[in-house]
Amino acid sequence: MKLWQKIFLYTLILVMLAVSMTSILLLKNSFSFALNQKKQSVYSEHEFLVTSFKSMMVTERLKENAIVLEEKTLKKFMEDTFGKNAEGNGILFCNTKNEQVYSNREIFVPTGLLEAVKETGKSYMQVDGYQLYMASAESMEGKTYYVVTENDISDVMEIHENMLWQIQVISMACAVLIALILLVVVKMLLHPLKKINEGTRSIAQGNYQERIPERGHDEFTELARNMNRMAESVETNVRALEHVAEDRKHFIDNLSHEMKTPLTSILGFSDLLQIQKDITEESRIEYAGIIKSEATRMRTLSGKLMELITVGETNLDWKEEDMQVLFGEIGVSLQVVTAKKGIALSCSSQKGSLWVDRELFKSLLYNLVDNAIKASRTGSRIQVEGRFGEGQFLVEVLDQGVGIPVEEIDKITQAFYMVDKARSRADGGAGLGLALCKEIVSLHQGTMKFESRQGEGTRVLISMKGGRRDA
Amino acid sequence: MIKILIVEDDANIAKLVEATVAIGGYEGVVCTNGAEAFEKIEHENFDLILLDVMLPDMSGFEIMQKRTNTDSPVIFITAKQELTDKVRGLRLGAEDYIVKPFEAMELLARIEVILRRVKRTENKYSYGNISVNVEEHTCKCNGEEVYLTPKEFEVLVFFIQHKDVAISRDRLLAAVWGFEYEGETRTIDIHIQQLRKKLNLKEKLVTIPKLGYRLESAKE
Repeated sequence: MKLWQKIFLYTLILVMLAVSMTSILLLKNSFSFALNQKKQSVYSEHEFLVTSFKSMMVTERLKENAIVLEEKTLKKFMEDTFGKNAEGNGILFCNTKNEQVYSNREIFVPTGLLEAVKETGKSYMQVDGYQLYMASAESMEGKTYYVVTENDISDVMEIHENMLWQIQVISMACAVLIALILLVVVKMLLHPLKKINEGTRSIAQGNYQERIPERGHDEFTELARNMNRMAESVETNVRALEHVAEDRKHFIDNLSHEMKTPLTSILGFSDLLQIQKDITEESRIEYAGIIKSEATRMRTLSGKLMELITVGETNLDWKEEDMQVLFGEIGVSLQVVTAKKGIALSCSSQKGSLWVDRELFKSLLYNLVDNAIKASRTGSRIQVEGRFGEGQFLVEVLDQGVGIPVEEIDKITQAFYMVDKARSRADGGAGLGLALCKEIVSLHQGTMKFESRQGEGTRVLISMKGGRRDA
Repeated sequence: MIKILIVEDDANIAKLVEATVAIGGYEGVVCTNGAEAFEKIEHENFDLILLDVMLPDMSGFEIMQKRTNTDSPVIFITAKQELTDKVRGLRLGAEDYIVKPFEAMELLARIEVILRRVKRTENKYSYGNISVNVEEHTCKCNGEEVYLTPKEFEVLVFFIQHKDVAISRDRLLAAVWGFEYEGETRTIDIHIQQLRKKLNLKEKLVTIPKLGYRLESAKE
């Protein structure tokens, strides 16, 4: 059963129960009140009848001049007194032997009434059908007689029955009315639930951008709000996952392209060397040269790739390194390369120390300077400088090279991204250097920024947290 | 001479493709960027275009969509090996789709298939005193007709098309019997023996150990 049906049914049953019970109780009260009143009047009438009969009997006794009236005389007297009263209340006398002495009409005394009077000697009343019977024990002329009066209470009973019928009709009408109102109210109250249900189903089907309308201030609004919050976090997570998957796919695509290009040359030229019969010495040397250089390219690529993959996974060897010494070492080894290209290199740092992984930090600077060298012309300068700022260590790599176009700056740290593919390949680049740098910097909880002007040079600014400057 | 446009951004691969088509006796014209290739395609007529998909300025797919001069058949040569890319390439009207890395002979075989389809190959070949007419399916040696089975004929034509090239049994199987043929490479040897006997090619159609066969140039 649906919720609205349950609420509707239970409420209807409870309301109907309450209404019927209240009306039945009220009816019962009013009936017993009316009956009590009737009983009182019956009681007084009975008393009055008996008393007046008794006094009349005294007069009769005096008139007859008898000490005690015989039962026969009494019967006759009764007949004389009540005989004509057949239409009003019924009256019946009977003796202790349960023999009817007199009745003004045929009266069926309810069973048990006389017995009760006999046992206790008190007077009793009993309702039977539309009649109220009152019985009392009276001593008359030295004997005990039982007087029973039969009183018509059809008016009270009829009113009672009438009201009972009315209540039934009214209850039915009420039930229908309440049912209708309940139906509307329940439907209206549960309407937001339907909306929430629809919304949730839609979200569950993958429409993560879908939201449930939040109207009002009730529990449903709260539920809707929480549902929306849930949908939002699901959406964020799904988008993030999609993004990761997309990035990965992009990476794999690029990787496969970067690997296939040299592979094609290697396989192709070795194939040509194998299948051709007459091949000039010149071509042979050229083909072999291409095979060698492409193989070298693959080696560089696989090396860089391994570095990039393992950089986040190997256990880092964190040590507090003296920056001045480290920069000095890096400078010395880079000098060999820059000198060959006729580029002036300065590499220095302020005195102080920083917690770093020595090898990764070296790799970071090598890669940045390598990029700078590739961008620089003979005779230009490359400057690498380390200094301590407020709670951070700053590394600046400055070159006077070709620079990076503004629109490319955001993309250069992506794996396999090369601003100038042809030139980069010619220099043996794999497009992974800056991706590696980015990884290393983020492992050191630092940030890396690029500022560049085309034709004038590039400035790389790295900031890493921590560091202690020695005076 | 059949002229083939080679559009490839990697200089080494371009050189490789050029050298490969030269073996087949075609003239290769190399073009290393998309825009230039597009200009060439629009204004010159080539017998075939070998088009790389991933080009720095304008992708091969783009060139394919934009070109208005659609006379030349196109073969895509690309590192993209996903089925969707293949379908896309073929839907755009390419005749074939070759995934890098490829073998030289495979490239040549596919080029020949396409050229034969668009009827740009020659119908007549001659080799020394042997002349072959592909259309008539006839082979004459010293003016006298020599009877060859259809497969022998195809093998002969393939060798004449690739003079001085060492051809592996697998390659020959793929070219003559089809790529899906799952026969023994011994079949090849039998056909070669037949050809040698029928056309007196014992000296010219030489066996290359561990590789296959080669038809030496007739001049020697």
